[in-house]
Amino acid sequence: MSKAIIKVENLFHSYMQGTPFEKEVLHSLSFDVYEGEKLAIVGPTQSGKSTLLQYFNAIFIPKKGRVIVDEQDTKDSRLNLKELRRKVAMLFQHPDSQLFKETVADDIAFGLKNMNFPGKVIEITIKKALATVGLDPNDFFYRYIFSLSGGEKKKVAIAGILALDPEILILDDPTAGLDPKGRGDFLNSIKFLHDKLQLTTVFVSSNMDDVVELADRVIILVDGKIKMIDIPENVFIKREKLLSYGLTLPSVVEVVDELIKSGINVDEKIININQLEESLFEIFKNKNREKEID
Amino acid sequence: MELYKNTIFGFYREGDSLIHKIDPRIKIILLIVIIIFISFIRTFSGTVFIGLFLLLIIKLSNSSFFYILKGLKPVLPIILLILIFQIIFYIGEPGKILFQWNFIKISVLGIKVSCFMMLKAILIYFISSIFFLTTEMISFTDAMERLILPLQKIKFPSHEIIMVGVIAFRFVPTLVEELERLMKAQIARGADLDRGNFIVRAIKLSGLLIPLFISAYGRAEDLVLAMESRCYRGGKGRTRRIAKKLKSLDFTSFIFTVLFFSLTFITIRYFRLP
Amino acid sequence: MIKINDLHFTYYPESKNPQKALTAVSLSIKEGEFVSIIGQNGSGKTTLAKHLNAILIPTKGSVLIDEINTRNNENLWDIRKKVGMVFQNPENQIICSTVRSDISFGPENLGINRVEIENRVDKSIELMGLSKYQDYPPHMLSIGLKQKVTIAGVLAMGTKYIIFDEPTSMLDPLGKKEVFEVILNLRKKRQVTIIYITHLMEEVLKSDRAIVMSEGKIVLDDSPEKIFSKLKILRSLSLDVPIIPDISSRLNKRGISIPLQIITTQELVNCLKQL
Repeated sequence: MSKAIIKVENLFHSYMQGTPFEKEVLHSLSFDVYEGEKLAIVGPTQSGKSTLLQYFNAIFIPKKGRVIVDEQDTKDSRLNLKELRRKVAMLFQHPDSQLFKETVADDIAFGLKNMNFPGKVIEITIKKALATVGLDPNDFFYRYIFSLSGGEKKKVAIAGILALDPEILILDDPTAGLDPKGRGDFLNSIKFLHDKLQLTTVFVSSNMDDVVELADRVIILVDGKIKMIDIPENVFIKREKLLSYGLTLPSVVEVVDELIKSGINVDEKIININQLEESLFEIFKNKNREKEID
Repeated sequence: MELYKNTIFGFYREGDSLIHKIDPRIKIILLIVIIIFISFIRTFSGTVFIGLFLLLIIKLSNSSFFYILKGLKPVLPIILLILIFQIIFYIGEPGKILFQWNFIKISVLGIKVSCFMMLKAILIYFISSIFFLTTEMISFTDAMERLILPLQKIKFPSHEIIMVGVIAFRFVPTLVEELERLMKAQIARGADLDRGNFIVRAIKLSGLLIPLFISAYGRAEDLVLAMESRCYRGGKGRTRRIAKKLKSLDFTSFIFTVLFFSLTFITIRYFRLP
Repeated sequence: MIKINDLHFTYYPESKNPQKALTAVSLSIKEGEFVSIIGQNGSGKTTLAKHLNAILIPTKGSVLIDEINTRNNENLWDIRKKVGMVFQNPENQIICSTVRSDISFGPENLGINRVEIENRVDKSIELMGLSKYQDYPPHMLSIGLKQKVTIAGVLAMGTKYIIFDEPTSMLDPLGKKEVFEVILNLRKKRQVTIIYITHLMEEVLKSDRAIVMSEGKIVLDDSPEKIFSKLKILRSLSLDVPIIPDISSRLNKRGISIPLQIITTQELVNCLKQL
């Protein structure tokens, strides 16, 4: 069993505290994130998912409850915030719109300088990061940000946080607004980087198909409370419950559901198209054989 | 953090006090008149009269004096700074000098005059606050548009200017949200946006302004497309909101205010109040 | 009727880097149709849409809206009274500080009298289910609601043709379903022609006709069933392949004969039961 690299204990969060508009957004959350896993946090809009992510790099410090990252309590006043933020890399939505320096090198160097990376090492680290995201270091190092395409900007933004050599990658709804190709490319990149750099990845998504493709485990967060934590197969089998929470099902699962209701006995635990293909093939391979016997 | 979710945007507080009910056009005119009057006061008793007037208005608008006062809290350092600068650099008849160093002369008169000016500024802040607390933004922009509409005859783009104001106001929460996101993205990369002296923090802030500006520009481009697609072509030919008729409350408040200030002025002059 | 004839369009034609965005596009759209347009980012979908309400003018070729040519500057506003457009990001389409006043914005621009405007706004609000939110400021609305406000605003203008440019792409899954549902139902309540740009196959499935674009050209123009059976082409254009045609094709390759033109799960069920 992997060790728990993040521990959340009895976490609460409310905004507009002390006013008549106070709203509790997270309620008594407790769970662990295991080293090396890809964990998805899923829930209807405004269920507190993004807020929760911001506890992992101490943008929020718990007022009630604890968050322990890599064995350090984020409430601890002796906590080295910069070191924590180096270890825990966070990518927000539309990362391409967050670049603000003139050149690619300057922007990536921003994080490195904040983290006090020694000057000699900075150039090499930048070039390595560019190569990791698939951009030619010798070309892109000197490029101006405004000359980049949207996709290239995104890669530079990712390079900017990977350059810090993180251990944990936090993604807030990363495929929002992307077209199928953009989405596919992004998910493949994340899988590749996760394995190559041996990261732990926690991501928030409202796209269930992303979850099926990427997640080892899924947390269902509804009204600030955890309703389920399990592997995708076990979560998506509870169709009625998920729908009652205001969630949608992965597209393959919807098809499987309809097939079962119409009398086709595919395995109800299927979550992706390959599994569906196998299951249907098994059923109809037999049917063909029956016909031949007749 | 979390400015966005924690703020109620705009100053307007719903209510049905007398002040709420006055026609916004009258309120705008009166606001301007009162501000001009305040600027012209030169006597301490003038501020007392105005202070009384303001207290009356605050009472009539069901607002809280302390609530408005609290609004000064965030700018208190700036106010103090300006006050200090004024005292230090007061030019004019020095009179009794309390303290001198190089070219810096701190005099009794200097302190008096600077405090007086600051007091007037705070009075202006109070009357403006009461105005915005009791007037909805949309009524305000409508009223402004109506008031400066006649200027269109001399080719002044009244409607367009109001439109700019409307859109700017509407986007304040959006830009605040975006600014927060940008700040968090930089904090996540180790930026220390809270630390450092004023100059250092200003420089760090400029790093946020660039992407914010670029994004605002992009939004403006999208907005232009959306507005043109909905047939916007400036103020010409647009259906206006129906102007409400002025009611007796409006006339009474106007006359009352004018009378009050005239009497104040005359009283101070006649009795040569300090 | 919308008639597009041999449309070519180049961005920045006089500059050092002209970008050809549309090449030889010809098509007609009849009144009452629900046409979807699919294609990768950069395939020319939005460029084409912008020609329909004269935001862009053809570099070569013509676009006629009910016989009115978009090239004539005098016709600009007549065209925009007929063709409404809903863009992708609702945040950048809402102009006024309350829902009701924003929906009124379009009709006000048309100089319609105040009583009629209030009438239309009421109807649009009802159609889009926004009664509760009438006096809300935009920043207090969820993004799905914001998009509904935008659509209500275009509806209140009473345009014959409505173009939707990826209206659900920035919404969460539930929001996507809700907004698309409302758009689908528009045709039952109004005489509108809908041109719908999307990436989502579930949305394309519900249209009468699907146009696939790539690199500024129309590649396919047919009913959704016929389009989806051409999986190889869809894949080569990096487009999402809907599940049912994908499964049918896979099973076919493994020797189970299922017709390739099926697109709904029910059709698949029927075919499987017949085996």
